[in-house]
Amino acid sequence: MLEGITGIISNLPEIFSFYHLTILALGTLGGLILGALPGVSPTLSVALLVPFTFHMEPSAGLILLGSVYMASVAGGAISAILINVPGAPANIATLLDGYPMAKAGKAQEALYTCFISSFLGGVIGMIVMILLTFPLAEFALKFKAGEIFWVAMLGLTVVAGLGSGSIIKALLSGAFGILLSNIGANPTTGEFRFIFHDVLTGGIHIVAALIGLFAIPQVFMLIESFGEKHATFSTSPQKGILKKTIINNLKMPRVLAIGSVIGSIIGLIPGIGGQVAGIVAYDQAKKLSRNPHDYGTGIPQGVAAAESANNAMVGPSLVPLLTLSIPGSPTAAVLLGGLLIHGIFPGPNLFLLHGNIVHTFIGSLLLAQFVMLVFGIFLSRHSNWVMKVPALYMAASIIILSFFGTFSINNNFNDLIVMFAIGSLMYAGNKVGFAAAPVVMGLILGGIAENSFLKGMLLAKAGDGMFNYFFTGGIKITMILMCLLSLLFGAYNSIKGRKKKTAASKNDIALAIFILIFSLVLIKYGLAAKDPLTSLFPKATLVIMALLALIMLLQEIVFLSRIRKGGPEASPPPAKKHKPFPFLRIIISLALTLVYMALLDVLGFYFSTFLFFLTFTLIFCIDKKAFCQRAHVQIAIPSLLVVILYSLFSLLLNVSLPRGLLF
Amino acid sequence: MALIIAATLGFSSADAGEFPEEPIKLIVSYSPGGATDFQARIVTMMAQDYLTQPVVVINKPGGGGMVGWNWFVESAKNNGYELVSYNVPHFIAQSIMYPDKAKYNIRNMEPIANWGTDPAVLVVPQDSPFNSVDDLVAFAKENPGKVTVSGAGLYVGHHIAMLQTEKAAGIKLSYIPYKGGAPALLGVISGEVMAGFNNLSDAFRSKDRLKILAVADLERDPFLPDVKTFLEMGYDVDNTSNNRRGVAAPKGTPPEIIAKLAQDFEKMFNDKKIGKKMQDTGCGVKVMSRDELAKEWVKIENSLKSVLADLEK
Repeated sequence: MLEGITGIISNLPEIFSFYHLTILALGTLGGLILGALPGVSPTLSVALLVPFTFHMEPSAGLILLGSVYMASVAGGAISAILINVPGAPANIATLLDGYPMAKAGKAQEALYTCFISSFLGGVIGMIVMILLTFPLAEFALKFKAGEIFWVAMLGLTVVAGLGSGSIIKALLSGAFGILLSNIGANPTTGEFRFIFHDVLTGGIHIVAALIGLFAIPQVFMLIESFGEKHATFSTSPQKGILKKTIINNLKMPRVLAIGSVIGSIIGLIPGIGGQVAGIVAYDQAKKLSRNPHDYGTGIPQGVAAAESANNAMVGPSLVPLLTLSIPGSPTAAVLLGGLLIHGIFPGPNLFLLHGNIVHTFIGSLLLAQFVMLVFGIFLSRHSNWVMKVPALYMAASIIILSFFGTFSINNNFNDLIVMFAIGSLMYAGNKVGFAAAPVVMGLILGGIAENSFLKGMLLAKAGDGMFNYFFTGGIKITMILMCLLSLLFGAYNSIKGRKKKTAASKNDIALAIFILIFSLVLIKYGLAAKDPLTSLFPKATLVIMALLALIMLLQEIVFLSRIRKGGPEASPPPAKKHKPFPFLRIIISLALTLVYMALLDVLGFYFSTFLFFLTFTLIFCIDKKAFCQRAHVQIAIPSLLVVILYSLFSLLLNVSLPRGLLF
Repeated sequence: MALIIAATLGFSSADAGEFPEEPIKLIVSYSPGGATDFQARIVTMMAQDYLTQPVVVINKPGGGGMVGWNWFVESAKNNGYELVSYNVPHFIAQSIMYPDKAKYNIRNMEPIANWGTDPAVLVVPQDSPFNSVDDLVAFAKENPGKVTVSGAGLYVGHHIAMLQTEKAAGIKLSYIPYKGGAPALLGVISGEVMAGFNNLSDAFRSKDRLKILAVADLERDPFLPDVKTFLEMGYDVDNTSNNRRGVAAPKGTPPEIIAKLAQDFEKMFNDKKIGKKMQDTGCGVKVMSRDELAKEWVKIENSLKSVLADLEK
């Protein structure tokens, strides 16, 4: 147990050598920036940097990869808080409270909270890893298909609480996410599902969907708001906030403890990965809070729960890799490549054969937490200006960033189409009360749940039967109990805090009927498979969707009939002032974006980006005359943007973007 | 304007004599950091020396390689500047099993050169009652379908080796496809499955926690000289399932460019430095020329057709 500590101490001179410190600082700063780019997830950041470590000495290469991994997990929170687009799936929960805080002028406080809680979570995660490496490895081995299935189910119970009000709509969104995860080949039978177009053959990439689900609706919301006056608040660095935030953080030991413990445990489970640590911790912190209804309105506790869990996950997620040579997460799989290239084979002997390198690596990761805190606070102080960027420029930049980010995931154009299609659908969904977070959860966990369930079924068939396989064993029973508790808590909270329904909406009736027909048609015609296992999950999901839609329909009808009878709730809702919906503007921007997408391949990524930004800002600016008078500035802005994108994607990350005819 | 003219001139003068004039793209249909990606980057490290131009790896992952290979045969330029890394027997098995979804087959890809091979090995957990292939076969004969066997997915080398073993020994096993080789190996180590087929290189790294019963190859492997081949033990399981990796070009690439690429890549793969780096990282090297490779592909396709025929009911 103490070998870890003595190992690190004896390698302190290595850890603090100037060369290693420089690499650590650069990796941390770079990781924060890369992580903040939507689509450039920790896995992608590390993967793109692995080739650079080919020519470094082993410990330097590992320090670079490790610090980038660590920092990019935290960096994803920056964009979640400032522009409402999470940098990676791990940061979904951060935006639930982070963005409302930023909108209320508390961006700086939100960012500080994020980095302080990331730091605390990260340190705790690393300490857990250093002290318990080998016992943890044995624990990780206990998670087999049956256990993983229940972990995924526990994650799915979170979905009900993630909506913006209606539980039924949150569940429907989650079910839709599961359906998205079913697209493509069934991993067990190999048969394909829902391939309505060749674009879908490879299934839907989680990160591409994530960008679409969050970035595209955000863009359209910004477009709607063009010309409106924003609440103005100071964005210059404010004094005293840092001290206040530190004290605030110290006042929420419970939230931080929940986050760090859940993050450490989830990080350890092979195959679940860090994607859900933040959101599960957020949900548990909310359920165990005295004021669960404050979550989602912009409270620092929400940010702290999510971010402490996220970073606590990193240390333990490396345990299966280092001790068993089995990467437990996609990022760890990439790190394995970084180890192998230097002839370092992880496994039980790693600490004996390459103790110096490994302890230098682990010690540096611990040190990276401190470096990250310093850089994070520095960046927080100076990234506030993002909140001041006019909506027009912000909308154009988010579209561009989401295109670059999506393309760099797989170097694949089809991902752009899928991303934009899902995003536009989500925008429409937002209008009728659906939220993006439950869709993402469904998409991530649906795949894990299906895969582990079908695998478990095959194993159970060869072994001792379904019941024994899924319902016996300590971890499984604990998980099942936790699922039930989570459901009960959620139900209790929602009954306690239910607002009286004041208006039935005709839209909801139409919506329910539409979903009902949609799911029934898909059940009947969407699934032709030889093997019943192929369509088991999609069919079950569709049946649940149909039932939910039916419940929704009944609710609305009962409510309407009560109003007809003149019940107590029949008082008309207070008339709201509706601003006209800017249809023309949305249609034009949609068309512009599609043209941009079409031109990317023909004219080249950078040139089309320049053109798009210029055209977009020209068409939508209010004062065209002023725009033309300041033409040099208006041209300089997209030029600068292109230069920045070029240095990030082409120079730093070596992503090969199609050059087309121009560049 | 001058730039555009220069660019067009550049394109028109790109004939075989001066090929290549710009970096060559190598499409890898798996994620960055994975085994194929990782090896592709090692074996092309010295491209500048052998091809006078660097090789740039571009990852197009998805659908178990299908997305990248489909893109390659449908959209890649056949001018020698866009090549792909193949995984045999995986892509050939997919082309047999998914004739409509997989647009590629050995007839629309031109082999250039093979760089490596990774045989499948049969592994069982450290505490397994099976100490030999015979033990496992005897148990499976008594208990048809009770022996669970993991592998990296459907129609990959591991799956093929499992099917060949079933046929050779006259037994029925339960194949459990995992999402990748690492989780499949973890399944064996943790005892989730009773046995597994996995890459020799990965099993070798975890050999302290496993028993390696046999290797599905024609000869024993230098990494594991004590592990017998299936053939030595009297089971007719040949090397069809070996995971071979190499480079291919799209159909329609000019023959003189193919010839040049085949020659240069083969020389590069034979470079001592590259061989050493591959050895150090635990990857099996096997360089094959274009002609050998073309014959090998046909042989494997025939062998796969007969192995997979039983699956298509």
